[in-house]
Amino acid sequence: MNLRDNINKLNESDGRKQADLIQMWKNEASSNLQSMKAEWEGQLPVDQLKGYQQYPVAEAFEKITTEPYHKVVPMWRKWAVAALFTGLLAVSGLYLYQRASANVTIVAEAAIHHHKLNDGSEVTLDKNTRLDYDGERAVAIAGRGFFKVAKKESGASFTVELNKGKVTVLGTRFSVTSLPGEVEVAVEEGRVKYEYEGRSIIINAGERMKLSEQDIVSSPILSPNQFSWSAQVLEFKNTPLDRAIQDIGRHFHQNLSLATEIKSAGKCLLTTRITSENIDQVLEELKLLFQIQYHKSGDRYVITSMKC
Amino acid sequence: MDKETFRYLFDTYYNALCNYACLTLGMNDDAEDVVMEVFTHIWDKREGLGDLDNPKAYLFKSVYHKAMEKIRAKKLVIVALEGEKIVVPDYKEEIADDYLLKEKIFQSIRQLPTQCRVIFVKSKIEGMSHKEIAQEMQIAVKTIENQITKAFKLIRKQLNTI
Repeated sequence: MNLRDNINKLNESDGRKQADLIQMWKNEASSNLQSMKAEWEGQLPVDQLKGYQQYPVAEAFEKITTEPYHKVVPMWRKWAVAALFTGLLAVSGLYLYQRASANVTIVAEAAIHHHKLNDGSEVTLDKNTRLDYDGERAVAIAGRGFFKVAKKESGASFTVELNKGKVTVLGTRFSVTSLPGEVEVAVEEGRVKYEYEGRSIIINAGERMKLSEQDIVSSPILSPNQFSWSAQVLEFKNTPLDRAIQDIGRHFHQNLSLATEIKSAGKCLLTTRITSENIDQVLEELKLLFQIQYHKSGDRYVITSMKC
Repeated sequence: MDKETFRYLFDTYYNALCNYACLTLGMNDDAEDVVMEVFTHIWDKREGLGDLDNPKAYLFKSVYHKAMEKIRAKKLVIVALEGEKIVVPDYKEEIADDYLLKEKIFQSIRQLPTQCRVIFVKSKIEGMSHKEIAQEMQIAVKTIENQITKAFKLIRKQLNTI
């Protein structure tokens, strides 16, 4: 008798018959016992538990069931509270005024600029980037910046206001691009929160988020050169040229592309280390290596031919 | 609905629902928010609300709809490594049952004795071979086999008493 038949029989019969059947079956062979064990283990979806986790149930229950405390407040207390509130408002107004006066604006025009902020965080600004800093833990940026945010013991978060949306972090390393047609956040270490028009997304290390039209699209970082521009070193090791072209374009923040006729670029491999300060020098180097020809129209570079 | 019933629903379903929402949303922070919102709604309306006829379907469906609402509101597009969209399965009773079973097994595993639990998780959940575990933990392969058999026995016992 096979195992399935046995189980079906068991399900059809009543308690006493079940016991007899099991006894009979057990006597048949010890191998049956083994397959019964395997059947039982097979029914438990333990291998599907990967990623299953424990959430803080008790805290959640407390949070939901604790009702706000209501009490009748005597009239004089209401007045006292009102007076206190007015006082606070005045003080906070003064504080805000002082904060406003601590504002700093940093502009990196011709060269990449490293800057240490008051709170210990470091920022690298790409060429043509402007950063407004409140003197504490908030900045606004137009252009491209790489941040190494210092973690505060108080848990105070650091915010970066972008052209569209806002990034909130505690302590981590990430880059942002904030331009009218381009909003991108890429995280090297830790995790950050991106918010835009009431929506929010968590971006983890090794992920980047792009705002495409009005959609928030997140994807893994595949290129090791995602942050190369801030260190000003671009490295390739047997990198297919079509990928390298993307990296070079991102590195110099230039629109660089291959003409659609070129199909073989994926087969050409590039191994080099680039520390040039502008894209023209790199294109000259590629001219020597792959005999590339390119033309420039406006701010677009297009490679029109090449040989491996 | 009284507080005891609410507490019972909460204890039985909360964690399974969070894990279910996490699958749907692909993000932990939002998963908890979604489940909290569903339970907060029930708590606020509990006086007008009788006992739920089918709490399992009610809770899983509510979480599913709230999660989809979130995805739509955020216009989120979650892209997998190969660039394909992650498709969210619709609510089905089997999925709910699957999560409730996972929850029971998960809680049983949490109650296993330490060494037994560590070995069981490494082998059955993380998919390590007995040899790899033996090397990592500096113990005999035979011990591992014994501990896994013991773990299955204890989990089975736990499941039968629930």
